[in-house]
Amino acid sequence: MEEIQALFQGFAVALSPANIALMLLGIVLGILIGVLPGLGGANGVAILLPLTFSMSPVSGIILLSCIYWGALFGGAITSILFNIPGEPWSVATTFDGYPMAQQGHAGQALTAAFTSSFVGAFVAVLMITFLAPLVAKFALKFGPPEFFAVQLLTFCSFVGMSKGAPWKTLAAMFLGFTLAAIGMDNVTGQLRLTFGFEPMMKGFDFLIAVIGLFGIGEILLTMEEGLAFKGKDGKINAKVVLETWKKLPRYWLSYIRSAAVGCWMGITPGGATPASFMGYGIAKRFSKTPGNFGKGDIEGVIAPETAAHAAGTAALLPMLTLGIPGSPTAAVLLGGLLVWGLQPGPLLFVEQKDFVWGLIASMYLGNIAGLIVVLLTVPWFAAILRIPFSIIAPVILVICAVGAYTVHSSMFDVWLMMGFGVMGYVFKKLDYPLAPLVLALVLGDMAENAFRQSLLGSSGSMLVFVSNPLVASITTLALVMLFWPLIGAVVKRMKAHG
Amino acid sequence: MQQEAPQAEEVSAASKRTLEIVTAVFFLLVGSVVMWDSSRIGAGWGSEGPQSGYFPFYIGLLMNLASAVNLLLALKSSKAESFVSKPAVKLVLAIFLPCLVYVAAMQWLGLYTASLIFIAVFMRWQGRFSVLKSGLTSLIVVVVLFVMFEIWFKVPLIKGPLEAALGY
Repeated sequence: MEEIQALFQGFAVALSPANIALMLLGIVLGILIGVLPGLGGANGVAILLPLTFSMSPVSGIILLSCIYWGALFGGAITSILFNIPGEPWSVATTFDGYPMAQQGHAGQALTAAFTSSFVGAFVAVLMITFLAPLVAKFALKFGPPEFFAVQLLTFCSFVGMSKGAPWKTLAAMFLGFTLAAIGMDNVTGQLRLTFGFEPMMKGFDFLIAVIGLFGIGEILLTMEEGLAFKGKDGKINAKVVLETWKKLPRYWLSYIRSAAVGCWMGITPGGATPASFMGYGIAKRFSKTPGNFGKGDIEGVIAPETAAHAAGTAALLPMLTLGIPGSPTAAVLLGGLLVWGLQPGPLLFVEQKDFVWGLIASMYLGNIAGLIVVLLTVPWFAAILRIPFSIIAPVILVICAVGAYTVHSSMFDVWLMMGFGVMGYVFKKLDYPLAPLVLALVLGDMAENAFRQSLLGSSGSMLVFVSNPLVASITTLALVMLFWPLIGAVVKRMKAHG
Repeated sequence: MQQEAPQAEEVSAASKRTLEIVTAVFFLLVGSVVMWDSSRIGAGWGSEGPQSGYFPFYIGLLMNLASAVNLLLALKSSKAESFVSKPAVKLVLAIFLPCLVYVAAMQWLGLYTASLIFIAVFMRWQGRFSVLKSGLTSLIVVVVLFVMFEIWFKVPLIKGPLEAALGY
């Protein structure tokens, strides 16, 4: 039980008073970010990342990951009380959460949502504790071809698993790779795509892209809807919480199903949003009373919240073990590792034991702290949503501008952020997915390096990606994922013809 | 390009088809520039393995391929669907244009002063708050930012003449 021992060492690292304070600060900031429109997990973490440059890596990651947990919790508040999903992964929570609030059961719905989030996250953290070291040990044997194949699998999964148009997913992804290529080529020192323009030489920072695409883009979208918040009261007391908790164990099967779906979708880069919809769909299909769904069934809150939180947490497993994030927020956290001078990948488990296990321990503690904090503070956060949008909008824009400026202390970045904001607005309205773009921007250099090293080893032959059973099977799986939309269409046509 | 959607309550400012086409063409342009620049610096096999343009060249090629399909699909799509209605465009511009002015002003006035004016003016203009409320809210936000960044985390933000006059 090497893991248990390592985990206890991690608790020792995470349990210092300073780290606990950061944890609570992160949770509160995270809930705030989750509640406010225009600020979400990914860009909230991106804006605050520069503040952690001077911290130790462990403290930095604890603060940022707790912001992430907080944002996952916060998304449910707006869904249930206002019928407005603060985060895309809480859309499915509105289906039954808001009807419950309308019927006067807001407290029950909130308790169920937070508790389910906690359960989902807890299952995923347990999985990470025991699975991550194994995956990392296995991945230590990986060479450049295997790494490139895993990256290929990650990106092909976006095509295979997204509901949207596959060609748009591909276009957005390649745009991300292009942006990653701008600047100095770190192998030859050659300048690429800079056209002699000085600020381009250091390349595009993905933090700027994230703040613009998600932050500014979201504000423009929200503005367009001419938002007026009309919400239910978030009254919650100990009696309601206890009564709801008594009811919850009845839905154990739903918890298991949703947690399993969530873990799977988090490891593969499906992410929290599709996981929440799948969790909801599965619960409805297996329910004895599917007709109650959409009318305020508590199971309709439990299932998507469990799945979303499990997926959001599980997304950190591939980030820690392979250096491949499973979600945009995990991608930003990965960017943080690079800034703190840590090389993400399997060696992290060997060389940075304190960091890895400190983080995993903080996931347990952060989620427990999150559940308590969110139950105690719901009414306050609900009150924040009553602040008119004409105050919130300019304040969030200022925060985004500050965030973009602090990355490199450069005004060019702030202009760039505005450009990305327009791009985010148009892309969102046209269903170009943003997650593959951001992931490609973060992973582009790593993918290119793995690709070049593989080709160097094989003197330019592409056959290196099928040269042994391991890499061949990953590559094959990737190609199946890539052509999944096509395979699906062919199967459908064959069925239609008899 | 104005397109009136049938039975729509609000007049459309642009059809979805137009924006799809513009976006696909944008992708094609970027892809072509990438391919051109990559072949300029060498997209082949050099003495030390793949040259700098090797990987980006194929990225550009694949992006063009995907965007060409998107362009074809957009050209075939219906003209009726609206991308955004006229009142909605006005709302979006009501925040976007002031924001552009704000970013431009940051260079001259510094971030704090520009933010102070931006938040106060937007609240007064769009939210119809009293001058006192607008000014006070905006001042509180800016002071919190200042304490957090300059004093607490010691991350300097861009400053202008007002901060200089105050000794920062």
